[in-house]
Amino acid sequence: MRFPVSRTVGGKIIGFFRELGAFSILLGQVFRHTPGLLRNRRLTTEQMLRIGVDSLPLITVMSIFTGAVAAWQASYQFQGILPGAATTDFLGAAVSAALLIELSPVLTGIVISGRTGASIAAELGSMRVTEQIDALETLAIDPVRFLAVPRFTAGWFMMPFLVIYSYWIAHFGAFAVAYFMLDVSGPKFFNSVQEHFHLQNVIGGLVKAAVFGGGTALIGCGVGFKADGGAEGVGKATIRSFVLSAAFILIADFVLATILF
Amino acid sequence: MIEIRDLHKRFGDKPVLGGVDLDIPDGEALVIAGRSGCGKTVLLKSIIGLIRPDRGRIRIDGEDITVMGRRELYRVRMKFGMLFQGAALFDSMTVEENVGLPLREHTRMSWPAIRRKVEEKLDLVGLPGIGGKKPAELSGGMRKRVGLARALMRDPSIVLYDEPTTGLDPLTSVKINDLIAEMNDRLHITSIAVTHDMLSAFKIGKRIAMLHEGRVAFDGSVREFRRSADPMVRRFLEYQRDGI
Ligand SMILES: Nc1ncnc2c1ncn2[C@@H]1O[C@H](COP(=O)(O)OP(=O)(O)OP(=O)(O)O)[C@@H](O)[C@H]1O
Ligand SMILES: [Mg+2]
Repeated sequence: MRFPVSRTVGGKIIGFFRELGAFSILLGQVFRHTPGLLRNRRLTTEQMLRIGVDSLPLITVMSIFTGAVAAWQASYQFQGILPGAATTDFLGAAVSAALLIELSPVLTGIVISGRTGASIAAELGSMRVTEQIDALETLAIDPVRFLAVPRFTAGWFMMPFLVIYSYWIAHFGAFAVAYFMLDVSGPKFFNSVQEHFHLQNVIGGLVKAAVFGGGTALIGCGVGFKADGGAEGVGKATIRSFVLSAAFILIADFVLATILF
Repeated sequence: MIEIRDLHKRFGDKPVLGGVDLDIPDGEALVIAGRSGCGKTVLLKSIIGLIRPDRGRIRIDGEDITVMGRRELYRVRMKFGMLFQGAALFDSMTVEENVGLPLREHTRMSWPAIRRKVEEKLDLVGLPGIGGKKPAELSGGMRKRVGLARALMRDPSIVLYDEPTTGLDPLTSVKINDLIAEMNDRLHITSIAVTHDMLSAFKIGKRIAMLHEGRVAFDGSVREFRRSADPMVRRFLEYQRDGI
């Protein structure tokens, strides 16, 4: 009790690295089982559908408004920096690039971590506390192969599609604002989008998407597997999974940005 | 043959098992008795390798499972079936998928063939025709019986039962006890059952081991158990009669 602050901070730091180690081990186990994926294809397609169905409505709403606000803000910030007409000339390009490399991957990632990641943690957590994971073990079925691999695979594989979808949808929102509120014509907006469209940005955005999707699913699995303490423990695991994966996305976003761009 | 030597397990600073020694020959029908929270489930889970003991050895047919890696452990587990205290059915799957899972994962049998075998096992536990239901639609006792069907699916040579009859009505209890006894008699399946229910214990067990303060405090035939003058056994039997 003499140095409670340093002790808790120190404890948290040690805990953080221990956690990081545990997730790395889980990742290693998942990779080891990935070659057997064909055997799990039924389970994997189930998870892919689930990620899509779970998150599409929220991603749609999120994307339309993200696009809209991005257009509005871009136009506001251009004022006074760029000469009059240029404000609208570059609007499409600026919004589109920001969406592709940053806004769509990160925000879709956050939606996924709240929706899919948390539901994975809740599902596997309740399987843990009701001994279903023990039951798999007694049937000589590896829970990592049976539960984590399909979810991880579905996570990194589906996220790029969701991000592309979000990116497309966001253009509707952005264009609506540009057209109705900022007086930018259709051809002007979309020409600008097209002229400054770089393949490198697409690749960057999709790499981010895959990392965020895989990471979120892995965190959901890891947290769920470790749940204990009945229904309360499952609730805690759900929240923990969201907090950890949201933090992961923001940190990974920065790291990837410095590597990719 | 299962040999347990000097088994220790603690959770945090709470000792649960403190030196359990137990030999279980093939074909034995052993009942593990003891007060609630004395570590019966922990012992059962240690035997199948779900819990790693802190100290001691568990040998299954001569192989020490406490030092085994995952893959070897899975090979040994193929000999086992386990019925969990809370049934532990997979609630995202139907009854049929639950019971059929071991064969689906470990054999190349076609799904129709697996379904036939599933139906056969469901019949055995007295629940024909419920394959399409989800576990949430079943009563506690029905779930337990589905769990039993799943444990028996691979025709194991050793079956661990964690409280097979708690939560069942008396009539169903009798049926399940008969089933367990019959599998032991006819198929020579080694059965290890944890139970509070002395009626059930006397029906399915030929031998009783009683856990007390982390050790085997009594080990003998059912007859010996009932006639034992050991005050600890007497007290346990009296509590049982009073319905605790
Ligand atoms: N995973 C665990 N973590 C911490 N403590 C545990 C764990 N599993 C069991 N225990 C503790 O070990 C003790 C023995 O538990 P166990 O489940 O073996 O009891 P039991 O004899 O099966 O009781 P019951 O008849 O009520 O099922 C209990 O005090 C329990 O709190
Ligand atoms: Mg128990």
